[in-house]
Amino acid sequence: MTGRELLATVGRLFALSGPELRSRVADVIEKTGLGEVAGRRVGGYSGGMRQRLNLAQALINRPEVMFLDEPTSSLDPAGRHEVLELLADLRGQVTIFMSSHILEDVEKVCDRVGIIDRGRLLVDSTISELQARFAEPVFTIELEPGQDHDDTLAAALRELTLVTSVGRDGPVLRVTVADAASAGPVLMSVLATTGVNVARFERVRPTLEDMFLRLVPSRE
Amino acid sequence: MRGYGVLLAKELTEQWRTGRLPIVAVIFLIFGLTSPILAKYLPEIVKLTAGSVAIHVPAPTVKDAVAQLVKNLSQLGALVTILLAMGTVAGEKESGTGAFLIVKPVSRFAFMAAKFSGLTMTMLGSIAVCGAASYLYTALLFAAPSLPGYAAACLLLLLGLLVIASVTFLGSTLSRSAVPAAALGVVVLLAEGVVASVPNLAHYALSGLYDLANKVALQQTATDWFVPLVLNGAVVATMIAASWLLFRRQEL
Repeated sequence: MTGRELLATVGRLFALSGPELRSRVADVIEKTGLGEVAGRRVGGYSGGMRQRLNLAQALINRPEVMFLDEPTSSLDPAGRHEVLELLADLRGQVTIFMSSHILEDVEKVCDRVGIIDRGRLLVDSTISELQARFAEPVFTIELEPGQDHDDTLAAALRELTLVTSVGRDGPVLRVTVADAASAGPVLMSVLATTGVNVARFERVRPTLEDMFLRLVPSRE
Repeated sequence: MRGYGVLLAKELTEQWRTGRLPIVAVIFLIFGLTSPILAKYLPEIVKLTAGSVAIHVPAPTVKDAVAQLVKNLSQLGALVTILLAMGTVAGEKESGTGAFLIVKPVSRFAFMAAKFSGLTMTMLGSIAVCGAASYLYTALLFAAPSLPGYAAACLLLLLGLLVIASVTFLGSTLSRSAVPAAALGVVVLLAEGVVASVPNLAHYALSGLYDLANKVALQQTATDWFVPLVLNGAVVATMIAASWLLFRRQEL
């Protein structure tokens, strides 16, 4: 059976027929980017293509809600990228509940996350709310290579009352502050006055994996 | 039976695309063509192989052609039927297609009904091709038997093969692999051979049905036709019902 035939069969199971069926099949093929392979037999599809076909058949009846269980598991990086891109494109059209252990994927496409541990919902929030909740008052400063001002900069930062500690990890300075909200502009002004060439200056944001590890106790 | 028609169409398309339908039809066509030919030329073959030993073989008749057809279908035809039916449900469970379809708005009953209907239609088509070829060659080499009688005999043979198909279908529902399903079909086929050798039981088993097919094709008077017909029909119905009851609660 070809991809197009499979989609038409699924459409018929949802009582679609005639021009409506043809238009829905064409629509989901376009949405999922299967146009070039829709006439090929499903047996010859790659993992990424099969997953896109799965999503296409799930979309044929225009559902309001979709539940996806590990949609990117067992896919190669290219297939994973394709599926994540497709899920991101569906934003605003379908509400998707997606379960996954690949937290990087969740972070890329989900607006809201829930973390479940042993059947108990530990958290249910937007990713930005979680990041704000778990964010540490830490900034990182990376200088352009070949500069010898890092000691001077570290000393200048330590003199600030809002800085509680300055650590070093190779070319990166890790600055812990008392009040993250007001520290940004102060730190930037110090950088400007010391005249160092900055490659990167950012507030450390926790990844979903960091937050997960803090929320879910280790079982060892 | 929501979705039955769609699933049956899918089933037949798959049977055709995977070559199962045409292959089985060609095998049955060969049975149909070779049965009267073998019956006609068997005495010549025996004489040739016997060499100088004198063996008297009576001149073959329509009866031998029909007997040869029944023998071919009840033995080799039954094995082909097992091969055809063994993956019907197990294959769908193994590949995940079953789970994929069941979550759509279709009932499990419609799924199983479409599966067995597809199998029956393939068998019916193949038996029709076989019967037509066999009738034609029997008429050419011997004499034309009664057409309605021959057609009825083919339907009885179909019922016999459906008994084997339904047992294999049950095996296919019980297992996630086609091999145990085939094994169940073969065991039942062998058991049938044992039952057929018991004089008082043979009439009630598949052999009773095949004997009836022989008589019907030759327009001989058939007494006690009711029992083998109803018993074998009941076996088919029971196997299908058991398959459905099992499949109804199965995790795919």
